[in-house]
Amino acid sequence: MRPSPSLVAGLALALAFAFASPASAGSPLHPPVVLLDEEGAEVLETGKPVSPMVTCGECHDTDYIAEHSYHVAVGFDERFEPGSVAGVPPWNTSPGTFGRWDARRYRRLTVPGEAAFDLGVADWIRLFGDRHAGGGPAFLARDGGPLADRRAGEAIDPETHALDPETGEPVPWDWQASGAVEMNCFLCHLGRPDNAARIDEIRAGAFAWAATATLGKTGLVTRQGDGTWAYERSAFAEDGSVTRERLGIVDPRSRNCGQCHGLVHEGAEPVTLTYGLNQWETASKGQVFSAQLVRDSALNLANKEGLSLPWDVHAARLVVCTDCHTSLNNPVFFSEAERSRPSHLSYDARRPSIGDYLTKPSHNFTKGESAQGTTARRLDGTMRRCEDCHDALQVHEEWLPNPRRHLRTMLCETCHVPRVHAPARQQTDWTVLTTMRGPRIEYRGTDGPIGDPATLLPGFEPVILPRHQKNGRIRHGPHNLCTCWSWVGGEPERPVRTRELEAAWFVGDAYHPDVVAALDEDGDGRLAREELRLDTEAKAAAVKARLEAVGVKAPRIAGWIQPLSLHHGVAPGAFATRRCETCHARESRLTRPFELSSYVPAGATAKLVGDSNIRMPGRTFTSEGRLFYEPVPTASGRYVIGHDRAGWIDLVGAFLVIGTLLGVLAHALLRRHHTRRREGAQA
Amino acid sequence: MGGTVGSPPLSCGNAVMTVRTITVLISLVAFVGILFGLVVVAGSTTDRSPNDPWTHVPVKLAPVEHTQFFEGTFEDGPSVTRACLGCHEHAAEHVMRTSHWSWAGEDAVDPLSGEPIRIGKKNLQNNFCISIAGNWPRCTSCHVGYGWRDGTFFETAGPEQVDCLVCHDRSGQYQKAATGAGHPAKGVDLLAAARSVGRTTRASCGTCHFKGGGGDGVKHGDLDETMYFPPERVDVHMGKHDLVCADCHKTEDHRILGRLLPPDRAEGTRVNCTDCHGEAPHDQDRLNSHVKTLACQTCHIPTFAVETGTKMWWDWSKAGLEGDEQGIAERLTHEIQQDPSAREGMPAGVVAMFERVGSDPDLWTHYSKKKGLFLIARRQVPEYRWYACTTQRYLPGEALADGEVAVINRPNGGARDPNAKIWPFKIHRGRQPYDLRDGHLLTPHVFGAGGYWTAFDWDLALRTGAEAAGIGFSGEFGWRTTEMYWPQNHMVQDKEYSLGCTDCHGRGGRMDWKGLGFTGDPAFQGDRRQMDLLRDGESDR
Repeated sequence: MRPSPSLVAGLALALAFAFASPASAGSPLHPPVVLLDEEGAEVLETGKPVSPMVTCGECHDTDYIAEHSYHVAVGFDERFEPGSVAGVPPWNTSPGTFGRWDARRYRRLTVPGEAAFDLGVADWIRLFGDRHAGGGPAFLARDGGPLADRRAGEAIDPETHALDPETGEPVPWDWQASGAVEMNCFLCHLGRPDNAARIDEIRAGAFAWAATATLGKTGLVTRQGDGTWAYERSAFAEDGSVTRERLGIVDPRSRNCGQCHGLVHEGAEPVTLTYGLNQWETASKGQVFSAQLVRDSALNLANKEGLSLPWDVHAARLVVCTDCHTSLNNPVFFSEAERSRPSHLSYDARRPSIGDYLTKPSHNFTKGESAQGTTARRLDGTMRRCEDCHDALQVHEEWLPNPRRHLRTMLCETCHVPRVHAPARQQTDWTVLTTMRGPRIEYRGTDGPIGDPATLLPGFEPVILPRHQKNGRIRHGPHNLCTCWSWVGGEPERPVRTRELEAAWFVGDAYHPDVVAALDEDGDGRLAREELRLDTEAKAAAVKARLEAVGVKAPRIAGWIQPLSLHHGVAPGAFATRRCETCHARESRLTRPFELSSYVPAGATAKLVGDSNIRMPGRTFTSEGRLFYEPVPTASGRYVIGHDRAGWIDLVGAFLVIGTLLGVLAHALLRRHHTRRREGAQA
Repeated sequence: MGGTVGSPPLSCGNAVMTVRTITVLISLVAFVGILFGLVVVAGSTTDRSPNDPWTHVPVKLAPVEHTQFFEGTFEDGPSVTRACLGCHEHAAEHVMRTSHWSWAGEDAVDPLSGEPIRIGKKNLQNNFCISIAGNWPRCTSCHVGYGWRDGTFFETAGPEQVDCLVCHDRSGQYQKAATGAGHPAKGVDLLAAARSVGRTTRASCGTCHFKGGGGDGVKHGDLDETMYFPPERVDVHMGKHDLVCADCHKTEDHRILGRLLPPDRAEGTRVNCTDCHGEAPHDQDRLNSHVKTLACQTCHIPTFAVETGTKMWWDWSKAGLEGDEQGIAERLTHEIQQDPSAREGMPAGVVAMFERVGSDPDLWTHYSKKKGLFLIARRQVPEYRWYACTTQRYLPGEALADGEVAVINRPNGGARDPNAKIWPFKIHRGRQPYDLRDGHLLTPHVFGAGGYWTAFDWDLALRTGAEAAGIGFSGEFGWRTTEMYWPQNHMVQDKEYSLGCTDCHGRGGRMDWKGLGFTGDPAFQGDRRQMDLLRDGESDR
């Protein structure tokens, strides 16, 4: 009799919990695995791609996992009609990666029926699949059927068509040949997943092989000369199974998360940065999750020798991503939210059994309330915050005046992320194209060209902005502000497609003469990087004319400011903001102007994105051609002692001082008067 | 009416005003005085609170100028000593009671005769130059005396043979002859040296202790000539705070605190970090809780041999090869890297280091026809062992236990020993001669006529060496891999450069937790107070 998956899974997890150390976070008693294809046959026999859904589904309920994973869905289950959600640009179709336009990637998923085709689903997978765990929109069609069964019909449909890079026209996509991307368990659960090989397969459109390629470093598979993958019989056990050791199954490590989310650095090698979107959060926010001391990095940081703090104190204290971002139904971490827990109950002892959890582990992970405000919004506020682990009051009341008020109005990160040491993206300008046919990107926290080892990196102070939390409170926290400039146009209005931008800007490999004529300030016939800016009416008009010439209707420049909240890169107490006058002084850190853009395209204004939980009370202004934002706390009803002035308080104070002086004077005069009278009477 | 010329007559009201003014003035002066006093007291308390390590550093009195005490010339070292003893009449007596003089300190039982003996540098073996027996004139150039030429020295040596200058000279030109049995080198101006005497300096100690093992930094790993004037990054005490050796190694009647390898409990004779810094020196409870399990040195000496290389492997079996020494070193290194048979008997850690020679700038090899092949390393991560601050000692003539590696001074302690803490060690490994038939380590006679360094005849060197050491030699010898433990105490780093959590805990940490007896990383499995987490039989490493 075959044991039930639940029993096997439960036993394995129970033993794993009993013996495994969270540090090693391994699964020492995971049974050997038989790698199966989508038909349930052993891949050793069939030679077909490994199906994680079927292989892991032998014991784990992979369907449940896929349905309970934002990493799989990425907005697929939250789709809406374009223009149907207030505050959201009319070209967005979901709050997640699958449908939300983002300036960093720029390309946009085409809405069914839309004439201007940009990305089909297959294109989306090839472009965005590097940061997607597979499954969801990479596996299922809109109607819930498998993508791999789709066949192109007469009508252009983003689900069955993809953009031909040569012609720029949509052509049928052969899903039967490419297969679909299954939810890839290996990506997060292998100690050494071959993510590069996985991405190669995705970029090449060989979707079905993506999971198999992830096994590239296990010795179980080798890439063949023709690009396919073959199984190494010698690496398998005699019965065709694969041991845990060979597969390298682990609980997800921070490094696994870092594959998509940003730089997670381990080991003694000095920290280096790529500034690429493969280090997504690092490039966007300058955040590095590493225990290494900042001064020991390979970066040319200003005042480096004094930076003897770790990149992130939690990494230095051995906290890993999954310690905070836990599975929602993990019985070890499960804690019911205050808002849904009955008031008489401080702790609900009932929770899923370990066996149940292992069979059906929710892959929705607890999260905070990030400024993006769009990613997995339904999970907002499920994570333990700083104060759930740290007794902040106990630590701060010794020296911090009015600690309760500080903690009520400020996120801990406000003081504990006082500075970001790595550069972060400041602006992404898609109104111009570089010779690489990408946007002009500027970073903050750098004194020169990014990537040049001689460039000094002073880092930057994040801007403090109010966050409107789900519980109704407003707390201030540190943010980076990423400004995007882009051409929008057409009917209905959409960001202008890269194909049209390229057509407007280039003739072959050279810039179009009209563009050069307008932008070439030094007259050398070439466009240097510094000349790539549409900061005058004439320049903007020239490019607009080019866009109109290639068929874009009514193009205009639009600007958005995307707030990105900073919750990592946390500094230990000794490096946190401790001086009162940092905030409570005329030159308050809370009101320091924050650069939004090093130039402003002519006639353009940048506005805060509408789907964030962040507000920007204050004003934007330009100085020497640069765009700044200056926070004004009083604009959101905040009074900062030492910085702000309230007229009535000043008036009361003046009255009190003058009144006191007058009182003293009157008292003295009366005393003198009475003394004289007494002396006169005595004489 | 009354008064004096020039003084207005005091009215009653004026007198009251004057008295009031004076009272106010006195009060003001008193107030300012009290305030000033409070500030001074507060200032002094802040500077020298009871927890301030500086309160434990000896206050140095001004030294007595000795120039006027000495005239004429001194023939030799003992004549200087006689002059010193003219005033410091008990000084030599004191010195002769110390191990600096006797090179012996602990009681043990002679494995050959069964008689009680006193052991020390005088009669023990190590895995550097192995032993002083038979090699006295060379080795005793670091003895705090004059004339130790053979095994009969202590039978005749008197107070005038104590060398006062080797510790108290401040002229900077005094030195002992390298092979002169402790006598001063030729050309030393003894009068200048005698006139210069004063407190000991770093050079007083360093001239011998920085060159233990026969050269700069050879032996200890945490002591070398960079410690004369170390930058802060080499040693925080001597670099940043300008301490000298005697600030910690406090001395009374020439008894100097600090014993590196005591064979039994030695309370009161050790220098401990806690002498100055207390048992809870950190401002975090988590760090202070480590103090029960870790020596301070474990975190605060993250690497040893910070700037100067120290010997990690000394292979006597390769001595005697003719040819270009650099070329031989490269050839032997290449063989070890390429040929498994050349690695036979070498500990895995040593092999791993040899494999990195050429690619790691902190590792290199050196060859000497007289001494054999060396592996030298810089900026090395220590190895960690439980250590109760006492060590076992291999006694000359003792048959070695079976096994690949013979341990010359195994540190005592284990996870279950409450006196033991995890401690950083330099472990010096090497290959040295041993008696194939009787199974004990041999002492080669290397220096002087008939010594290996002149005759290059192992049989002769081992036979005469055994005679000098009083141990047997069957005539058959082989090469035995040995290791020797050197606890690390110097080259201390401040908190900025000490170990952090992830250096030891988590994946890639430097600690071999299982080797130390834990079931796993104690950050997650609990520390040794939860004794059931220790693995039976494997905790005494």
